[in-house]
Amino acid sequence: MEARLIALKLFLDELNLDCDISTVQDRKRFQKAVFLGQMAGAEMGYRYGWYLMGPYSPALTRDYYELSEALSVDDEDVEKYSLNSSVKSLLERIKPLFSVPPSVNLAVEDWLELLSSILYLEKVSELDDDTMREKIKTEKPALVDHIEKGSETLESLNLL
Amino acid sequence: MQLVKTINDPVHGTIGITKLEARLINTKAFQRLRNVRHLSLAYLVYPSANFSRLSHSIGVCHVTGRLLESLRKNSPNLALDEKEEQLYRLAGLLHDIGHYPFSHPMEDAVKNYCARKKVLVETSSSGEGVSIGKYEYYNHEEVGAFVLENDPEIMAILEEERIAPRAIHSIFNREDPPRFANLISSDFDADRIDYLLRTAHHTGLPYGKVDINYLIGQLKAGDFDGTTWLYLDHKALKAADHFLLSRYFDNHQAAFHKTVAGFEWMLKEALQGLLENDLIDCDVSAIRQKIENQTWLQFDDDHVTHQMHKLTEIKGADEVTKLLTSALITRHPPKQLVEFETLAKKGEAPFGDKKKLVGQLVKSYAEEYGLDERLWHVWSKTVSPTKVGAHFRFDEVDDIDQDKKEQAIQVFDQHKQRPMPIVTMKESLMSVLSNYEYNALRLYLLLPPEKEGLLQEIKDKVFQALH
Repeated sequence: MEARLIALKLFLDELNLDCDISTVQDRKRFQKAVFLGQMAGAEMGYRYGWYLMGPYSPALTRDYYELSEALSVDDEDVEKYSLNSSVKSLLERIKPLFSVPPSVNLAVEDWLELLSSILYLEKVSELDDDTMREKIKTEKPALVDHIEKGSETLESLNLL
Repeated sequence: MQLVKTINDPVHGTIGITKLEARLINTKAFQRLRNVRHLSLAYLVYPSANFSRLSHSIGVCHVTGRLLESLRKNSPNLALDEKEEQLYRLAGLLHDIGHYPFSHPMEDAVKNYCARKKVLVETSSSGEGVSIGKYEYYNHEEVGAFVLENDPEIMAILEEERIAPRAIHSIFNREDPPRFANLISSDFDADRIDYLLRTAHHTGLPYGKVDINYLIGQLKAGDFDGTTWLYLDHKALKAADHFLLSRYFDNHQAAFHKTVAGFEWMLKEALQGLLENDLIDCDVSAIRQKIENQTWLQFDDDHVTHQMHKLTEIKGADEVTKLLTSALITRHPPKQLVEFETLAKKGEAPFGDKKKLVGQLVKSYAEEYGLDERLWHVWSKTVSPTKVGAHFRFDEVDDIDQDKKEQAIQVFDQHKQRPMPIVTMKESLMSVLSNYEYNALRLYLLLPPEKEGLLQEIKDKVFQALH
């Protein structure tokens, strides 16, 4: 298996996420996990743009399908490697993001969409707080009630 | 558009270009593409398949112009002005300007090297790996964006014409894709049209003989559900099926040809060796520096080939990498020991067990014959005829990732009165074929010259073990 795919698999393993991509929600979780990891400094080289479900990387899509294909026949190569300690500690820091707070009534994938969207709009698109809220309100009405909690969670990890 | 100059092209005939396009073609950064082969190593098998990214890029600019002409004619309410038309033509012309030497194999090698250096550590080693941020890479679209924003000649021309580089690279990079980005990047785009025609012309393979003129003539645009869609008229459905099928066969005969694929494996190993031995540097900062100080202009296939020669002479460099590199330079292909192929329903992974068995055989025979495991290569491929069909079943098509959905060929559905992905239309061949995948598994071996006599014996043993 190619090194970049091994790195991707170990990245997800480290966050205790599986690499299943059967459903749209699975693929969304994958996309947002890598985005959040990269924003925390664990750079994997994927470039993100803004799509319907928030930050999305076409290159990552290509790679996770390739990974899924590779894993279906062989996962022995993965055992030859582990993530280096810097990446591990950066990912350790963002693990709390993957638990939905009790006050938030969202599936974990939707919670991750919200966090990634806030982060993308504020850090990548460099929108001010009001414009970010307005955009989420217009494009993602189902998430709008939880913007406050999302921003607070990101701030608590110094990501915002 | 005022097409003030003409270029003769073996694929499209006489191509007209604007004054601005002519100026950009004459820049050194664009002329560099003359020395970046479009099909990488395919010319080692098809002797004339050595056309460059320069001729392809001019072709893509021309085809983009033809597609826009059709849109203007078939959808007169589009409000497509000359400025917008020029931007799409420029995106076609410049979409490959950031390609590394040897194109995709180099990009893959860089990504893998980056993953090894930056993210991974071997479990057998006691080290912790290098610290994060030590090595980053650009993909070729990002390099392209950087060239447009930093190459002095290109910057000066665009500034004079009051064109922001971002207006061009946002089209080919699909950054917040503008309304017609699919003209440059989709299942039916100027890039793929030129590629198919040009590959057929230069390889001599017959798969470029599709009804491209008819397809181009049936392209339309319209607003549905608040989005502008590019789509083909329903009467072009059969021609669209044929186009996708032709691409499928073209891939088999060119990129997946057994010898081309074997050379590509060796090329990736050689490139890995160049990166490991600091004979090339593709870190983000090095690439930026190359572009800024213009040494990027010499960073082409010839330069990398020259560095490969150097690698074979370095004392202390890894001997297996040197052997693979020498074999590549002297056009000494690896031998295919065995191949399995089948068409299967998606997701079946028909060769899963076989691949594990092949892996075990490699370990065992490598030891028995004293042939390093890295001289063996297990190649596997799963391919479907359509981009959408490559990953999704027909009944899941409404759930696909938005980006992929937007890039599928859209054909006007007369019952629904709107464009729909071709794979959802029961009368299309693709609605059936997209549920299937071609699966292939091969085992290659590069024998050192002194062990070439072992080939038949090893081949027989592998055959017996796997059948």
